[in-house]
Amino acid sequence: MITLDHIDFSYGKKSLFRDLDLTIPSGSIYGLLGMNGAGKTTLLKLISGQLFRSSGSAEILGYDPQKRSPAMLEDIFYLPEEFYLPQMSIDTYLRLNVPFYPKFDEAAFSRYIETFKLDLDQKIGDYSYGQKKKFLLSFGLASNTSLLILDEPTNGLDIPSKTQFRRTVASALTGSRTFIISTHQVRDMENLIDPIIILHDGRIIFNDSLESVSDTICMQVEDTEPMDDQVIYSEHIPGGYSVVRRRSAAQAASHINLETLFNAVVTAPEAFKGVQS
Amino acid sequence: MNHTIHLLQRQFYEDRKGLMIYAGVIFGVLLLPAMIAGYTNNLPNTLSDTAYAEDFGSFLLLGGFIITSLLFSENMHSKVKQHSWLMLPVHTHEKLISPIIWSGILYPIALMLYFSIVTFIIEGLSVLLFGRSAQMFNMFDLANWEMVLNYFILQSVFLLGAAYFKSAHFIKTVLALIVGTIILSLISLLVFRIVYAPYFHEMMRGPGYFTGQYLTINTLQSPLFTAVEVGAKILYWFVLAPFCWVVTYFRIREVQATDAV
Repeated sequence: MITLDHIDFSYGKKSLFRDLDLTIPSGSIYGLLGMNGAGKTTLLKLISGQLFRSSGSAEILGYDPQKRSPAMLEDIFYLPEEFYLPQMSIDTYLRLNVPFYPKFDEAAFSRYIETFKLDLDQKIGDYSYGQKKKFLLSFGLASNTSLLILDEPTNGLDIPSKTQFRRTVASALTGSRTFIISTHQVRDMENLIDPIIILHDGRIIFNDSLESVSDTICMQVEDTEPMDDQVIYSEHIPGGYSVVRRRSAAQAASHINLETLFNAVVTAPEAFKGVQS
Repeated sequence: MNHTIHLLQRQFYEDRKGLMIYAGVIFGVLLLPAMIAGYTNNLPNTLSDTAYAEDFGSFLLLGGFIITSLLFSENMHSKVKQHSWLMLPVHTHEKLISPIIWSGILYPIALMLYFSIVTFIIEGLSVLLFGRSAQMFNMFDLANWEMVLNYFILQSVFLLGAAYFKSAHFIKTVLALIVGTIILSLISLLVFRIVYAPYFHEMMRGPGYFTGQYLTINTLQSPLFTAVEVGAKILYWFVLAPFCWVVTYFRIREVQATDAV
């Protein structure tokens, strides 16, 4: 579904990606994690044809994103972190935008709007930031695009909405769709995003499923600072140390904490080269 | 073609409030002089027969160029709105064709119809209130269509300005036109001075300057001058607009390739 091969990209003279490779098959909700300025949004824009690579090749849904074919664009919905909604009714918005998305499902859209408790009579420009986000998310999910890109989707959502978001997004996934969620709010995304892609220093340093990770590493909280050579990463937390170790055959699988996994991968990327499937 | 129609629908929705205000302004500008003239003057035909045609020309050109200049400001050049424009599933040429149709074709035709209706109403009022009327706007007058044709050509320049400049599109386009005209005039002057050197004894003065014989196009009729004149007409009627559209197309592509950075 998505193949990026030896991608180079730079902003002017500042190189961001060098020789970046990424393959994303369909049917999963991918989590894209990375520190500020790592290039997450740039990567999403390269995938969606909003930015052009300097070299390398890319294939998104069977198309070269640089050609910006309408057939590709109508199969991608991208909800950015910052967006604009005009002052109009939902009906008008649908009338002006649905024609561009041939797979749009109006019944599903109504369901999502109801799920997110959005006021149908209110102008969408008058919605709060969180409501606007829920509106666009409803539109994106109902558009039935093969690729749904969400950049920081839980920013601005209240606590019940975050739960609703996870439930709704998970229920909308089908075998032919792929969702990519870029986020810093990893706790909001636990039990939703899997596999995980971690972008660091212009490279993909981690791209694996949580199941595969839990086969090879384990996480636990220990009272004292661990010193043995099986330790990949440890961090001081209130009440002890959160420790990431290589998992032995005798050990039971542990819950993978995304925040700890991210910190471990960014701190010791070399250690994870051997554990990725 | 379907996408172009949908883009035009979006454009109409975006511009509808501004257009309504614009329509109100036109109505006011046409109504006020007609009423004042009707009230203060006892003679019939208080407005000149060409008054509405002159007003039409002013609104067509000035209003049309301003509307054209703003065509990309609320999508391609707007930081907050450009995302949805960039992700719109349409071809680049459709993003170009829809503004050409919008401000180059639909606007002048709508303006003509509107002028016809408004002048009909105003002159009807004039007859009712003052018992006389002036000549209404005639949308079938060839002179008006010639003006529309000229507008269609010149509109392409402002479309290019709208795409090329990121802000103050109209002012910058006008300034660019002024600078361009000055440069072109200086080049023409230089070429003229060199080609017709035998006719000059000073920088720009011919032999009969003091007796009132100036250098004019008529006195300098030559095959070269005719060729230049024909060439200039061909450039204006057949080359200028396509050239501006092609450059605008590539400007849109450039913006799309760089995320409007």
